[in-house]
Amino acid sequence: MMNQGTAKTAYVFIMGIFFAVLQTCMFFSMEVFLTSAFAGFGAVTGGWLAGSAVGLFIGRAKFLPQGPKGDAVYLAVCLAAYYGFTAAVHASPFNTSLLPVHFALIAISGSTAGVFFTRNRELFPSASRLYYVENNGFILGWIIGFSGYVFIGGTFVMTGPFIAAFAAIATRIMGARECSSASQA
Amino acid sequence: MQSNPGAAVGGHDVWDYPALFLAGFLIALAQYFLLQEVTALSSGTEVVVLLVTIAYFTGFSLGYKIAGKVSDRAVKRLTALFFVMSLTFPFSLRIVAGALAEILPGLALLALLFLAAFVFVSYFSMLLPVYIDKRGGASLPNLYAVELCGTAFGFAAVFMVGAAPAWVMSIIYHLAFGLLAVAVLRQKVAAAMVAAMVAISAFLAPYSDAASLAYFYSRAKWLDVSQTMYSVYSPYQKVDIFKTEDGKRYLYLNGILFFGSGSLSLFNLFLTRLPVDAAKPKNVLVLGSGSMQYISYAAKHSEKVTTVELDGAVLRGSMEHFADLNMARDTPNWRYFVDDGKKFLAASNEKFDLIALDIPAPFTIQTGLMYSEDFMRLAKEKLTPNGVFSISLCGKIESGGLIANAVAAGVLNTFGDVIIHTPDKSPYSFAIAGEKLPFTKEDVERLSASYNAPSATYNKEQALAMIKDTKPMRWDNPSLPVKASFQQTKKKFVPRGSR
Repeated sequence: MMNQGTAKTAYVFIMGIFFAVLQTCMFFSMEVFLTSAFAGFGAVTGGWLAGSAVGLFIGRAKFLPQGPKGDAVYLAVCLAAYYGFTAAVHASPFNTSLLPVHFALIAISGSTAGVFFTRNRELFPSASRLYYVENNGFILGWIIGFSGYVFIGGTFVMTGPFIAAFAAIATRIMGARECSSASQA
Repeated sequence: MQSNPGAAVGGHDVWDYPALFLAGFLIALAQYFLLQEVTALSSGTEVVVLLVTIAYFTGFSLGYKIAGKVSDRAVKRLTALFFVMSLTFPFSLRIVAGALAEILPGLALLALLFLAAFVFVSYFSMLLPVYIDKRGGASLPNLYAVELCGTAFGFAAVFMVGAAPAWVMSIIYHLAFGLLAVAVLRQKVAAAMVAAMVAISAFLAPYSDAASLAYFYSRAKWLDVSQTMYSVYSPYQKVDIFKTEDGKRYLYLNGILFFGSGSLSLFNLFLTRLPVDAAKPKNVLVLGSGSMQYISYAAKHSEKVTTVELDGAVLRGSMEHFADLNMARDTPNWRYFVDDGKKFLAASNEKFDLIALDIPAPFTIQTGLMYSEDFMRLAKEKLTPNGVFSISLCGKIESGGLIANAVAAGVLNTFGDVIIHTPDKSPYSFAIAGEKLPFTKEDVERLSASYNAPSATYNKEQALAMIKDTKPMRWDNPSLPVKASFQQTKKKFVPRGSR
């Protein structure tokens, strides 16, 4: 059993891990199966930044699903776009004419980061705490993503982001249950 | 602009937006410009790149931590402090790294990692949460979006000025930080002082750049630099070409020597000249550039010589500063492409009589991919029936080294006909391979002897017995460059005399 504060922190921390694992897997897929040139890096970085910026405003929309269920939907969309990107890269290796498609899929994935920050901006008393916890998770996620690809290879690229997303949503649901039982008590 | 020194930093002021845009811009610049400098000063292998990246992200956490505790006045003081400190970058980094590397290279690495973590981005990352917390959580989407836009512009700037001399990047960095300082400090006197300091640093930049580079290379690499001929931050690496007091020229990629020593001249001889002399290929492809000495070897016998280089900055530097060695501009049957070698080969419809790999040793994942069995299979598809593949093992096969054996394993798994040879004066073995080589092991021995560097030569069976059950590098398992890089990094902590 986690208290509410721990659950919030764990959720944000694990989302940081998830974003980093996703990014490292995208970078490695791009580098190995498409191109090591700056265009590939630009597609990943530019797509992620553009998606994040758009996601910040999507996250404000009240008509979209809210709560843990809504978060699960966003993560599912994010994973679908990621696996779409991975499939496109594997199905047509070294085909840089598909870069706009890759860019769009990465942007959809990246939009989850923007949505996450907007929807969770009041989770902690200060924005600095939100960014701090998420970034610490990101650092650990970067190490996990790097080690995962180096020592496990393609299997990690296929499973790592899914496992991280599953851990994030499980923590989110547990946190919501704690919150609800605390308010009932 | 407000001239009141006591004005709130994070009030509902329009100046928050340009400040955050510039902070985002500088975050991108720091990632490419300062981290690349640190990587080059630490002879960037994969483990160094990983450590530097972790230190960089730790800087963000530090900034976020500070953000929750600083007052408006403290933000202004930190702005002034970090701005003045940044004016010394990257020159002061070279001085610190050079002085410490002379004692122990590991000390220089630790100091640089400390700077990367505590100085490069912590200030920039601090601003966003400070401004959000002043305005309330509802402002997060707008303010964060502005910072992200700045970061995107920063990456675009890096790509656009990649071909410019290194000191141009330092001027852009100092100018952007100056504008950020003005946007945060919001005082006329401070703005005038910032403008003056940026102007002075811009005027001195070319001199500071050359002097600090020469100092670092004299202390850390024992190179008596008389002239920095070429120094750029490409989107991939730091590229430096120096002339020393004795008139020799050296090419460094991310701080690692790629051309200049006697053994590296032998490298070109055995990687390209020997297979050219032995096979007389009509269509030659070389992946990688360096000094491009191979052009002068290959063009004499071949109808067409093609260079494919990922980093246009290396190619430009080589054409300009090694023109007497490569004769590139005077070779009509030579052409070049700035592209990823893997992608070029996969997309090419041509067949080549000789494919040679002239890239740095696999101490990074990126180069490791090119030394993998998967890449060799790709190259094999593009060879003519008697085509030749030439590659350095990046070590001696006789020494049983991690990398030499793995590269040899890739060649031996891929090609039916393989000759591996270790020239007498070379620290590397070379593999020449194909499905049916148009020359014999004896031809290789005879040619090596004619270059005054007789080789120990092995056929496929002998080489297989030497490497035993070593596994090749694969795209799906790039752990070897990381392990090799880890070994290199460990050496930085061993005093020079005891190595």
